[in-house]
Amino acid sequence: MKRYIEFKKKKYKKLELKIYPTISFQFVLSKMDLINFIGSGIPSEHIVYAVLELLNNSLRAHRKKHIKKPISLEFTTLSEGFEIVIRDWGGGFDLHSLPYNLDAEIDEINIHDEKFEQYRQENNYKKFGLGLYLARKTFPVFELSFFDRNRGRAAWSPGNTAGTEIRLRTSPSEDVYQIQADPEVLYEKQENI
Amino acid sequence: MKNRRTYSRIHSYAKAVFLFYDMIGYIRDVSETGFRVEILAEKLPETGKTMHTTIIAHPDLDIDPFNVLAAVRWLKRNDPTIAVGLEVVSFSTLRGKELYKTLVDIFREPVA
Repeated sequence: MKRYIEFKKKKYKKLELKIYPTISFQFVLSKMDLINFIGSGIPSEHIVYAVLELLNNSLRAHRKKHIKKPISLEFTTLSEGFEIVIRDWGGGFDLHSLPYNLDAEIDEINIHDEKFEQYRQENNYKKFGLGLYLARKTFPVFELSFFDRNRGRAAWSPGNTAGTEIRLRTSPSEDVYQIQADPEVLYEKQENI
Repeated sequence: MKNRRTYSRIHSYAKAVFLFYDMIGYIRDVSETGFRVEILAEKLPETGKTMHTTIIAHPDLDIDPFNVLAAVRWLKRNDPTIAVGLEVVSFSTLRGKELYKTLVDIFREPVA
């Protein structure tokens, strides 16, 4: 099966976007709209919108803390699907601030329970508390970790945590980074947004 | 198949809260006459039913939340969500009507 990332009508094995927090959301959406995941079992629209939700969280954190560094968004074609890595420098967050336990089985999370409703009301419905939930629902592989200033993995600690990394995969397969060479598919593209 | 839509749908982003129905969702495209919402719900709305909906635009757009009465025209399972096509029936205020038009116009315009 042919598998590649289509961006601006060109084919890539890997695409990296650097998203600066000053850019408008409409602009980010217009760029993300140009990405298609050819050969993915998950529709491109679901992938793009799940990533947009996570990106919204990252943009909010960067803007709130006046962090000018870009958020990194990497898309990589794998032998069995795609990997997406979102890395921000927003200082991480307390997992206990979520209206649910992120480690719980996804089917056991009730997004209509009181905690969720309270969370939404407290945030005037500007935050649904569903970004991470939606990513977990959409992708069979979801890994969230925090890193310190030296990019080393570390538990969240206010003031010490530099940022958050979220790794998603469209397939649970471990067999990665080995795809058949296709002369039409370019290796890598980087773009600043 | 020929596209018989009078108004083209535009990819967009906003949040939707269906008042009284314990349902929330994400608007993914809009047109002058309606919008598609991807909902996360256990109970499905019925086709033809009208729903009081609050639309919450992205904060970058600087559009206040507004209410619209919309009728369910179609439903489609679109795992992990359910796609719902809604037709605008009326707005509770003139301001709401203006804000909806602004929302459609913003996403229609190409971003430089």
